[in-house]
Amino acid sequence: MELSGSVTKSIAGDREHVEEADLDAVVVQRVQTGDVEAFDSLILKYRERLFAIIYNLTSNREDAADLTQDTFIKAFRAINRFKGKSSFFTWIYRIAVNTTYTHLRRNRLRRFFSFETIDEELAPAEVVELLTAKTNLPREGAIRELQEKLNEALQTLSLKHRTVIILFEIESLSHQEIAEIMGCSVGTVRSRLHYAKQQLQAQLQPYLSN
Amino acid sequence: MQESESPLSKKQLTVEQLVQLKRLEKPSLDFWNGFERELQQKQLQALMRPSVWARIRATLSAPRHSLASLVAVITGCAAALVAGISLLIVVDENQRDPAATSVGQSQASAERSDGSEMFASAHPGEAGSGRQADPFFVVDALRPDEKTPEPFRTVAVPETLVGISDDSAYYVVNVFRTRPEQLAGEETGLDF
Repeated sequence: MELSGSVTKSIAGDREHVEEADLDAVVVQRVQTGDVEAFDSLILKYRERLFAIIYNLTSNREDAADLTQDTFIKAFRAINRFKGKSSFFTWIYRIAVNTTYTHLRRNRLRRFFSFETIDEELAPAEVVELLTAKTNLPREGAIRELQEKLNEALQTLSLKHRTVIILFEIESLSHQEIAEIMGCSVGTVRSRLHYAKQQLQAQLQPYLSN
Repeated sequence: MQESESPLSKKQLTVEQLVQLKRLEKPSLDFWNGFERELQQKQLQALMRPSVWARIRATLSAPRHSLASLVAVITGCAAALVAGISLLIVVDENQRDPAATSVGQSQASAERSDGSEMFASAHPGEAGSGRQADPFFVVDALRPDEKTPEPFRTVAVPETLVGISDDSAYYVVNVFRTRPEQLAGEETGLDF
């Protein structure tokens, strides 16, 4: 059941992305022929998703904002070299991930967390109930505490493991899409995902066990 | 209280559920307004700044200037390398005409009776040398297989060489040159 559910989700997701890729290809072509304002529509479309990936990789909203802007500037400068071998979305995600990796490697010794506000009202009720029961804290406090622990736990993962878990669990990308973005095989994505989940499970044990 | 607690106690949170809570971490609308303004500023700055490739092309597009600099650097490095190697190698060379060498030193080597080589220098104070050699010390050339030393002694003369090439690359090298001095009678020994 689980397997078929995930396969179905994967197929539906891929279909959506194919349609999205076709739309993006039209816009990219317009930009390449000189309609630079068309690039604004790509910025509007992808800025939140790119920001989310970069923020979850860095756990710093200011850095995430800068790096997202840098990603768009790099993409715009390189747009004429984009040949359409991959989808635009894979291409720009790859730029975002590589830009973030470069930033994190350069600033390895200087790491500050700066969390984004969390909209507690949108949290699933069941999850909040379980959290408050485990932590014996009020709703707001329980979620804030979890946010801190979650970001700390993600930062203990290596860049590649962190990327895989963010792209799969938070961005809901398929294994194939993640493999294209990261330049590795689907098997590698699966094994990294499995390992990352194991590591997170160990770190977040107080929230998971009865 | 207990009835409501028991279904909860049976349920467990999963790692996936916890990680997916991060989807709730989103910036406000004000954030995106500021983001757009900053992005526009960065785009304008990027237009003024040439790309990495443009900068590389600009560097390579001045071939004469860059080639001359490259030749000067390579010449300097090669000269330093040769000077360094010459300190480690004992060579057998013929006496050179003092005027012919770029550093103004002539060199002579003497071959011993057993074929081993000895490096001998010109006399200090010759034209073109960097400075006069003041102290000198004596090294007896003892062949390791022989119990008796040679009937001459080897005198080592420290000198500092300063060479200036056409490309304005220069180097300073300290070398020890040796010359043979015939010994009288049984006089032998190591003096420092």
